[in-house]
Amino acid sequence: MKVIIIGAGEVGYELAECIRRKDHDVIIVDRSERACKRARSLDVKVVKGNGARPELLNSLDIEEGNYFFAVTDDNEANLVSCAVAKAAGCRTIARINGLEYISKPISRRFSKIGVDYVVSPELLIAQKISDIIVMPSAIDTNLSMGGKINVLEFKVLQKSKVEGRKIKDIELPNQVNLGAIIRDNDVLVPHGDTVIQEGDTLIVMSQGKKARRQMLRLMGTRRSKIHRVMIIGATDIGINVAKLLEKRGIDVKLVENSPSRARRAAEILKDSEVIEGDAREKRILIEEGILRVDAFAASTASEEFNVLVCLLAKIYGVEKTIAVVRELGLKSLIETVGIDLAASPQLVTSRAMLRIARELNPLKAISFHGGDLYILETAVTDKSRVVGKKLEDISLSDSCIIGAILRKGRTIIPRGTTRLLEGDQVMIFVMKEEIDNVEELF
Amino acid sequence: MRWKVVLGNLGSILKLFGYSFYVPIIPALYYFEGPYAFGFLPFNALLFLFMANLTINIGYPMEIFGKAEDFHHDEAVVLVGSTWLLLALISSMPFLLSGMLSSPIDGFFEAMSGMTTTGATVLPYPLEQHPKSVMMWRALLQWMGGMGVIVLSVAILSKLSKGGLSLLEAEAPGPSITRLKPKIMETAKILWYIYGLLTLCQIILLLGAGLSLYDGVYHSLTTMSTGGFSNYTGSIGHFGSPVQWIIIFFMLMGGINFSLHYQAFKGDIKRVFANVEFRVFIALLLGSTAVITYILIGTDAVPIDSLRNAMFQVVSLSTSTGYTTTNYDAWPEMARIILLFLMVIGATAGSTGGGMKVLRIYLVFKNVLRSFKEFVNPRRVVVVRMGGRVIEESTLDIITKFFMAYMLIFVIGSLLLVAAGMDLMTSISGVISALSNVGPALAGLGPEYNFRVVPPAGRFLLSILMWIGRLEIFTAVVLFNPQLYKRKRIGSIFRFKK
Repeated sequence: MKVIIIGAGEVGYELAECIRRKDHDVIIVDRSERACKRARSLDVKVVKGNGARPELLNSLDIEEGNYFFAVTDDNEANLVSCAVAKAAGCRTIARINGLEYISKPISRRFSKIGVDYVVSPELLIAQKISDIIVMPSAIDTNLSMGGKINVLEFKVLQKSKVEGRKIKDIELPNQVNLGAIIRDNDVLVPHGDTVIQEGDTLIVMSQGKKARRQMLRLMGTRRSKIHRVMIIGATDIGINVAKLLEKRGIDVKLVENSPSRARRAAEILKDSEVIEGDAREKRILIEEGILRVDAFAASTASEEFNVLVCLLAKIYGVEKTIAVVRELGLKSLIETVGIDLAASPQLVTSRAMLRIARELNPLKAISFHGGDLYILETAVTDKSRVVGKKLEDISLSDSCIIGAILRKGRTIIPRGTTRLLEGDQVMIFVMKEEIDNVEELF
Repeated sequence: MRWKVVLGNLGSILKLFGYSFYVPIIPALYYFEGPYAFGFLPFNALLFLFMANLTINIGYPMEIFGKAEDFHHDEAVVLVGSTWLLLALISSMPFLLSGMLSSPIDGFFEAMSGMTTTGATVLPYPLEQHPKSVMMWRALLQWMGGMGVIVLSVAILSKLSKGGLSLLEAEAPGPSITRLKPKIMETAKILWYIYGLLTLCQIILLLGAGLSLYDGVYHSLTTMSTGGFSNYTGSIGHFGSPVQWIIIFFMLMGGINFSLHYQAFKGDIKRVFANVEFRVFIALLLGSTAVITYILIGTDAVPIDSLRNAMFQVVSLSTSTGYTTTNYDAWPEMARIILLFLMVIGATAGSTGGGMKVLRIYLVFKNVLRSFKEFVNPRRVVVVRMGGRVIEESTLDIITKFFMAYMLIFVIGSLLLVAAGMDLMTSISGVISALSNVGPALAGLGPEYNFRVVPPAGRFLLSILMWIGRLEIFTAVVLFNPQLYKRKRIGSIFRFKK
């Protein structure tokens, strides 16, 4: 299938990288020479030019049924090129920046004018940040398999119930499966004899709210509820995080330097406290109660500032800090210096788009934890080598684990005796270098 | 400022207003009130015929001489302010010509009290002695003043429609005007239709309660306008309890924003109850009624009488109607001060009621609360909201200024009234009553008293305060701004460039 991506920025690049794994012809279009150069390293067709121009679109030979992603920074260009591609029969997905045109993270608002889905990076990341803040011990959450499975990351703390125990001794809740363990930046695939240590990050798949709650109880040593949150920067992201948090009854303080932005935030937010002041001033942060907040998010337009102010918050003892970062390459680096999450609007956008275009890639890969670990979503077909087999009989390598199975709309947390049937959707944790082997099996 | 434009439009309004003098001819003929001219024609019928022709004939040359162009904002304000003054002067003539009042100041007071829907009177008691036609004119004056003569003119005269919004805003009670329809003329028409319909409903109900046609019409005209004139010295105390309940209901209707009536007529009751000002207003009325009923229980024979008396007085004074069923001035101090505060607060914006309006008081209150928060943490940014909607700083600013202007005029007015020889409580409550267009006040101007107890200078002062109160201060006060009367130097910018 032909896949056209307009815009080779972070979103476009990430999309291309995930999609090109299968036998799709990926064409990526960008105006800037630098972006084109970077995209060429991906082994996809790169066209330099303006994606909204009629001549360029004509030259791409767009056909019926092609996928068309418009992910440039320019909303209007995205909408126009999608509308044109729709006329040629493409399925179209556009990125819409800012909040002027949309009010939901993913919407079909423009489907009448030829854009099947529009995706808002700001709203998606705001949703994600607020989810992470609200979940006490989880530091990352990622909905997969059409939202049926939660992928949670937990940091193992001193004195938690699981610390120092073998996995086979731990009574995991029914609907929970341990996917991977990250220790000192290495990814381990867990076995029954693996001993969990303090500082490990557990990646867990769970289904349903009950399982998640049980898991949180198992892991939890932190305070069970978040009461106070401080957000720096009244950007669209910051305001929306505050909005989502205040809906859940959390006290939010939003600090913003610019008077007009602060005023705008105060107009939008009903219960949050908006503070006009410079977050670089220590006195302001302390007077506004940084010593008492349970979580801290920095969402200004400057990513360096976000990282620095998060580090400052860490020094003041804030347990959970989140920095909004645009550059994907920095993500794992930032997380190693102690910031709990480098939230990238671009990354969640490309992931959301891949989720929408799920049929595009039966084997879907979502890079996890700085790109070493992948979560694959794949379907068992009658041609698969694994069809009809029990899991314990499938020769999976050590660095691979089946996390969940979606069968006829129901989720199964797999055990060794579970049999794979035709039509199953399978979610697999796999190390990067094993992806090709796994692909062969299915 | 183009005086010819003001003059021309003033003429048109005057011409239109002239036709209203024909209405009292009907009771004059029906009741065949003497003395008789030519031995058979009732004098009062001739009087109103004369007034109608006089007004139309003054208006006509003004219209010819003036310019009928679209007006600017300043001209609209001057037009509204001067219209009310001029119409009060002309409307006072029937009282003087019929011999009911002898002093022009008294005539002006009575007419202004009518038009501004205040309802204070200087007619000698008992009121029953006066000719029914002139009394009907007095009620009609309140009815026209209630929804506003300017709103009426905009509804009828299409030439006013272009600058109509400025006109309506200058006259309308409340900080802004809700457009019910995109066209301002349609909006004015709808307002008058609703007003007329409600008045008609009340007439029918009052007739059903056993009132004569004259009394029914009379009191309906003065209830819906929240005016408060009665043709009985005992006001509504003259009637039995069913009539009093009907009047409580319609006073309340008059005190409610007419755009809410419009929503209700369209069947959108939900939006009416979602309106914050409406809810605050109702809560205020119910709360005050409950407290006063509690105070009064035991003084009346049956508790239900206490409730009715409390509710009647509360609704009457807070909607600025000014009807009374009992001498509330004899009530305990607590009840009296609640009534005094209700007079200051008044009814809702966009209603026929007076006072500062619940909306403004609510926003002033919220603004003060906001400043407390800002005082605790000066870095905090807080906005004022009403029903979820953010109120612009400029709106808050104007409302605060209005509040201060009201207080300033209240202080000056009280000072002057004391200087004119009235006692303190009478002066304070009298000024509030006049500014809020209520009618009766406390102490020396309580419901038992006639405004004849005020010396003539005080009467004139009170009539001016009624005018200022009805036009919500700014529209009236700017007429005294000398800047308005200076000739503008046309082309001064070009001279500067040379």
